[in-house]
Amino acid sequence: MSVEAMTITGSGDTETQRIARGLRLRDVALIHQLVEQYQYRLVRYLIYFTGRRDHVEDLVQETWLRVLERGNRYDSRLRFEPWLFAIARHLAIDHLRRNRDLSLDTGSSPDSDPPSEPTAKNDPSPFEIAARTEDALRVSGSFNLLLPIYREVLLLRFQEELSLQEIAKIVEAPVSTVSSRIYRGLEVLRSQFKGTTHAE
Amino acid sequence: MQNDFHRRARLLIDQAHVVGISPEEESWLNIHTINCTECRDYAEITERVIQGLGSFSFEVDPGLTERVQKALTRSAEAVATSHVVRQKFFSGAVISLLLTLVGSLASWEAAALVAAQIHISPWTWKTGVVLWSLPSLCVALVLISGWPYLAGNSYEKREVA
Repeated sequence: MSVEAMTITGSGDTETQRIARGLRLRDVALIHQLVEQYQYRLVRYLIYFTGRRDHVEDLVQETWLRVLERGNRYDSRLRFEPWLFAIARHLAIDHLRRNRDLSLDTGSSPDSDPPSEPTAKNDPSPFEIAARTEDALRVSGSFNLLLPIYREVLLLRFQEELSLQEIAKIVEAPVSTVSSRIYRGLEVLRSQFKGTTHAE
Repeated sequence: MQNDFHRRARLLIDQAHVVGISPEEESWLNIHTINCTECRDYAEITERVIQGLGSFSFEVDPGLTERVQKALTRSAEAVATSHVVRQKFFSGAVISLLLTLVGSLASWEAAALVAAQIHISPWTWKTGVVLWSLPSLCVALVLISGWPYLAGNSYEKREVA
């Protein structure tokens, strides 16, 4: 499970309190530091969610500008990453809707919706390009076909190691829905993985 | 019965990765997978899938961080400037209102004194003072009421170079 990444500074403030204070004061130096610290993870999250590389850089910049603009809304009792990813998620959804690329979910039960969408394979997906091991390559094909809501929970749980409660806050869904999405996402990837293994 | 064991084992395999399982459940699962090839394969594939997810490495434009930081600096400076402008505007509006009120009071007293000496009717001099003070009072109130709308959105989208 995730570990609270809080360090005690010399002043007695925790890391999140230091971040909250800096955001309220619009401390540009602090925000620059946050950009350096979280940039890769933010880029990765947006690629996972949108399933594409184009426009990710614009979304990254929009996200940080939104962080600067709404810094006074950050709650220091919570970790910074969930708040950052929540902002990025809203912007990504707006972007996908504007470009009519959205197929997040149908709003019905996660147990009944198909977790993936049939998409004609053209250019390699960003996941296929980013795969560094054979297993990653096996997973990448079906991973790209998963709906964004399944991809993001798999990332947030297994890469970002966020708790189910934190993920639920980001995706604005109950913890039970988050669990279901993770299990269903794994189920799809497992079946595709077995399929490619047997094919070899 | 056997199917229930397999079903339970697979559920525990998934739960172990997602929410964690108790030591007793882990122990049961270990014993089951030692004897069950199918569930052992299930566990292995699940593990490999999750490991595979962790083996994506995305390339990030090295200049992106710098461009974002520059955009943030510009945005923060714009907000700071706009904040100073708004503060000055508000201060000016408040001073304008105070001067109007003080000036109106002084005008009222002076007009009353002069009107008494040159025999102007009270209605006339009072109307005169009010009409004299009204424009500046209106301007001051309009300035103060319009101050919140000066905030606007200072966080303009900056094009990524």
